[in-house]
Formats: sequence, structure tokens, C-alpha cells
Amino acid sequence: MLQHDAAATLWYAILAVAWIAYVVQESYIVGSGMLHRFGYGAAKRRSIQLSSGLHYDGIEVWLIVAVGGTFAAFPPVFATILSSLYVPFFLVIVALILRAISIEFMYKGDTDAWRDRMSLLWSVSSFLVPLVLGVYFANVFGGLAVDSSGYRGDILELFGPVGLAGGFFFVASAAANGLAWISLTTVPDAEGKPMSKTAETAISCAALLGLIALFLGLNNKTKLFSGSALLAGAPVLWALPAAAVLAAGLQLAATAKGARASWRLASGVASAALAMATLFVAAFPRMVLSSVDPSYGIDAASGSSSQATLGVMTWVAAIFVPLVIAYQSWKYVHFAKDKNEEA
Amino acid sequence: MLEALSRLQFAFTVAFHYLCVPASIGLILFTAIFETAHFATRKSIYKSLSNFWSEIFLVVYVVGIGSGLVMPIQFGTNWSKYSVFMGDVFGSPLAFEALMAFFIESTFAGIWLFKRNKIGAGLRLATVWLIAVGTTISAVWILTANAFMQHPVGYALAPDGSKVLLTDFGQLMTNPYLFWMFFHNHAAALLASSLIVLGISAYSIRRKGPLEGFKKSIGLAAGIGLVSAVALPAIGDPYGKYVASVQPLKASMILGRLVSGAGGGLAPDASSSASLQVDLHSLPELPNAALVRGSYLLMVVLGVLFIASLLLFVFRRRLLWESRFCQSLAIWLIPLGYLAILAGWVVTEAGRVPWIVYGLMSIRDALSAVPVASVVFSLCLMVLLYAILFAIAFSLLRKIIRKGPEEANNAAA
Repeated sequence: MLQHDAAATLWYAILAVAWIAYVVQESYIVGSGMLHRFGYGAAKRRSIQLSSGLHYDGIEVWLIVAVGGTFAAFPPVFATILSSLYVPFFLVIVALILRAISIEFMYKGDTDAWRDRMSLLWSVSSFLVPLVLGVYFANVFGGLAVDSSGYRGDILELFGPVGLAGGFFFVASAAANGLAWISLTTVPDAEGKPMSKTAETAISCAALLGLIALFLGLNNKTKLFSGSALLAGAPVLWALPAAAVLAAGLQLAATAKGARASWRLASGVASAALAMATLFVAAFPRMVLSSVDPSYGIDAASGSSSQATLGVMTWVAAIFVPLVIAYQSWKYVHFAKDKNEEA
Repeated sequence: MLEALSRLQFAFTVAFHYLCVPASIGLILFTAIFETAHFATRKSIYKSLSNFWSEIFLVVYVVGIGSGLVMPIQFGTNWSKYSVFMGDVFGSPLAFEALMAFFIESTFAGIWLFKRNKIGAGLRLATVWLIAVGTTISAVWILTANAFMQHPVGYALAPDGSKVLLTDFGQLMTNPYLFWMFFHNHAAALLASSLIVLGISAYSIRRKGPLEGFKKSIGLAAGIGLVSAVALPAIGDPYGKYVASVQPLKASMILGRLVSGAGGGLAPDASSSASLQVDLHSLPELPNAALVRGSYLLMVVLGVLFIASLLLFVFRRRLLWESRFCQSLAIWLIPLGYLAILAGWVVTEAGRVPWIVYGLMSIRDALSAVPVASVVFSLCLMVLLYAILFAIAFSLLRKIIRKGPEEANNAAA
């Protein structure tokens, strides 16, 4: 049986993996959603809806696991973060609901007007999801204005410079990955006027700049990096943020040179995954960072559930997480050759 | 104000979500049965029925997962003191529900909704059954969490009383409250879904004539519906006796042994036990006995109506294509099925007021300290959003139902 603190650390890592799995996969799904209206022909749009619609729902459950797992393994962390970020949470949920409705029902109506309204809704909601998620993560890792009696900040504070840097990075990274996902998984476009290579390169460039701005802003606000226990103890971990920036640079280079979509997607996904991993590693063991006074924050060990709960959860996760990864991977592979033409 | 708004928001969002849950559980089962019939016989009528009922399932399912997302979030946003107090016990069933049920449902629903015309018969069959199994696993876990709120087991209070701690996960899973609630809920979900299938079939027959596909649907739905309708009181009777042993106050209200007393409060009538009289004085808030009693009676009356109507439809099936009255009856049974479910839900949840966790935590102690303006914002947002969802779902369902299954249209042509 694991010691309690070791179990808390393990669950910190499992939840970090769930968040990474969600954010990374969601990036190309919302990216393709927000851009599907821009210059593509009708057959291509249908194909994008089929390829992203196939996966979006299964991916969204990683978000529920990340949030539900935080509830189960770290109840005070869940309670503090959700009640502090009350408005962003409702906004992201509304955006996710509208995305689900529009992607599923876009081709179920009778009229062109219905399809166009749903298409617009899909695009706008797919833009809002990474925007609010980016603001959310920038605030969680940039520190919340919590003291002994709870959250002291206001809504405008959440959308400050660091929050907006997070939103900007998430949106740009999603757009860059979405473009690669579209060219990788959908039919060639016969009728549309797709985005120019210059525009695609600019989007990848924005993702790179957004990532650097987010890292610098977080360090400036809560000393996320310079105050990090793990980075101080094991300097080799500085390779993580370096690799995240490098991967974003590789995606930029691949897009500028017109490299294959699989390279652009792989480098963009690697960059997003490494960026998230960097944040979780740098913050550890801090789970709620207080911008009022660090002593009001919550650590993994002190904020975790009992050994009994963590023990049961570890057994269940050990069986079901590999199983889920197995059947979701099978699904990607099984439909990989399918270019999502209308049946 | 904060308490009233947070309670209203939770009741509104859970009631809306729960419109989708029973229909999802039942309609995917009907789909799976017709898909199995197609797999076994290769008759195209079964495939068209499987596709038709799953189109209706799709609309309900999408609105259901959307409105479902709002539920766990609210424990943190609006009920954060509850989350801190209960997280050690209550969080893991929710996480397990996502891990064991939502992943299966969502991964394979994606395949069903976007690829079902491109995959082989074997994968089609496996896909629908996996979704059906996923919905059932989901029900088990959410009811495990709810059963703890009704009747806490397998826990100890932390030494400082600040939270509950899990001591025995096995007890959590074998909570008798879970056992009764699961079977009662699942039978109710199957009954409500059967009434949906019957009502839609009757409506379609009225519009298009007695098509073969709808006759087959009626045969299946009347059978499943009747078995469920009879099972409900059979389960409900011992369930009620069990509730009386763990929640005497709720049972007293159901049986009408608590009456309105002076000042709008509650008073036990002459036949009540002494322990109830003591209990009432120590409660921070009194439950609404008339609401609980009335909802219970409504559920019972509707249950009798369902059994009588389903007996008629099982033994005189032809009435559904010959009698306009019976067609209208079948159509009206759809909202009545929902009304019965909502009534049962009111008995269960309004009956445990003032407790959010029975005997351990009162509802008003569970709230987040958030600005009232935030809750006003989220409540308005959810009401607006759900009005839009309802309008979209309604117009799509009407379109799907009017179009009907492919086979039926071919037969009519």
C-alpha cells in the first residue's frame, strides 16, 4: 500500500495526465471547429464535421475525469478553484454544450439557414472553449486572490494580462493544430479557397509567441518557475519548457516550409502537451496558488482525500485508464484511413 | 437569497437533465434490441427501426450529455462547503462514473452517430450494446453517490467533525438504499421509454396508417412497458418499508402521518411515534409534507393508469391502429410518464429536507460563499441556454418523427 503523501503525488500526476490528454486532443477538435467556415467548400465542411464529430465526445470525458478526479482526490482544491472561478466555469460549460449541439445537429435540419446558423454556432463556441480554458489555466497557475475566507478577486481580474496570454496561446495553438487536423483527416477540397500558407504560418507564429508570453507572465505573477521546488531540485526538468517552445518552433518551421500535415499536427500536439506538463511540474506540489499570500494556498498532500479513498481510486484507475486509452487508440487507428467523405 | 437561488438553480438544471436520462437509458435498449434482431435475421425492417429509434436517442443523448456537464461543476461552484465535507466519499463514485461509463458511452456513441452507415454489422451491434451497457453502469455510480446522501454508510466523521472519511468502500457499494433506488429508477426509465415509443408509434400510425415498423415497435414497447409498470409497485412496496426504517420522517410524510400544524409548521398526528415528535423540534428547516404526500399519491395514481393502459395495449394491440381515442391516450402517456418520474423524484429529494446528507449536513450549511450576482448570472444563463436547447431538440424530434423510419416510408409508397 502506498504511503499517503506518495498516493497524493501519484494522483497529482494522474490528474495532470488527464488534463493534458483533454487539452491536447481538444486543441485540434476546437481548432477545426472554429476554422471550418473559413474558405472551405461544402463537401469539405461536411468532412470536417464528420472527422471531428467522431472524436469530440470521447475526448470531452477526459475533462470530466480531470474535474471529477480533482473532486474525489483533492476536495478542498476542487471546492476552492471552482467557487473562485465560478463565472469562467459556467462560460466554458455553456460553450461546450453549444459546441456539442451544433456539431451534432448541423446536418440534421431541413434548410440551408439552419445549417448556416449551426455552423456559425459551432465556430463561435469552438473559439470560446480554448479562450476560456486558457484564461482558466493562466489563473489557476498564476494564482487566485484567495485568503482565509475564500476568493477576494473579481471577474475583471481573471481577464488580466496573464489570463489573456493564456487565452491567446490556447486559441492560437488550437487553430494551428486544427488546420493540421483538417488537412490530415478530411477529403481534398475541390471548390473552396483555403487559407494561404502565409496565414497558416502566422497562426503557428502566434501560438509560439503566446506560449512564451504565458510562461513569462506566470513566472512574473507567482514565480511559477523561479519558485518551483521541482525545477530547483532537478534542473534537468528545465528541458520541459525548453522542449515546449522548441516544438512550437518546429511547428512554425514545418508550416512555413509546407511540410506534411502529420508533422505539423505532431509538433503542435507535442508543444501543447509539453506546455501543460511544464505548468504542472513547475507548480507541484502547489495546487491552489494564492496571489494574496502563499500560505493561503493548498498543497497536494494537505488537500488530498484519505488514504482509503486514494487507495480505491488507484486500483480503479490502474484497471480502467489503460483500458480507456486502449479502446480510444483503437478508434483513432480504425478510422485513420477514413477520409470522412459523406456516406 | 443565495441559498434560494442555488437551490433553484440545482433543481432546475437537474430536472432538465433528468428529462433526458430515462429516455436515453430506454431508447438505446430499444435500438439495441432491433439491431440484434437485424443481426440475427438480416431483415432490413429491423435495421430501419434501429436507425429510427437511435435518431431519437441521438437528440436526447446530446442534450443529456450537455446538461449533464453542468451537474458535477455545481458541486464546486455553488456547493463548495458540501464538496469539502463530502469529497472523500462522494467524489470517487462521480470519477468512476466518468472512467467506467462516460468513456464507453461517448467513445462508441461517436462511432454510432457518425459512422454507423460505414461499419460492418458486427461492429454496429457491439457499438449499440456498449452504449446501452455504459448508460446502465452510469446509473449505478450516480445512484451510489445519491444513496450515500440518503443513507450514509461506510464512513467515519473526521476527528474535528469537518468532513466525512471513507472507511469501507464495500459498504458504499452494497448500500441497501442503492439497491432499491437502482431497480426502482431503472424500471421507471424503461417504463417512460416504452411510453415514448408507444406514443410516437401511435402518433405516426395516425398520420401514416398502420405501418409494419410501428406495429413491431408497439409490440415490443407494450411488453417491456407492462413488465416495468407491474415491477414498479412490486419493488416500491418493500422499498417504502425500507425507507421507513432509515428515514422515518419521509415515510411519515408519504403515509400522511404528518399534518400542517400551527404557524404553517408540521405536527405529527395522533398515531405517530414519540421519536418523530422529538425529531421535528431539532430540525433546522421543516420539509413540505403536503408536497411529499401529494407527489407520492400522484405517482401511485399514474402508476395504476399505466398498468391499465398497457394491459389494454398488450392484449388489444389493434386498438392503437383502429381507435383514435387509444392513439390519443398513448400520446398523452408520454408527458404523464415524465410527470410520474418527476413526482417520484420530488418524494425522494423533498422528502429528505432539511438534509443534504441525511442526518449529517443540512442544505444551508453546504453553500459556497459566492456573490449573489454570480448565481443570478449563472441561473439566467442556464435558463436561456436550456430554452434554446429545448427549442432545438423539439424541432428536430418533430422532424425525425414526421419523416419516420425508411422502411415504413417505402411500405407506404
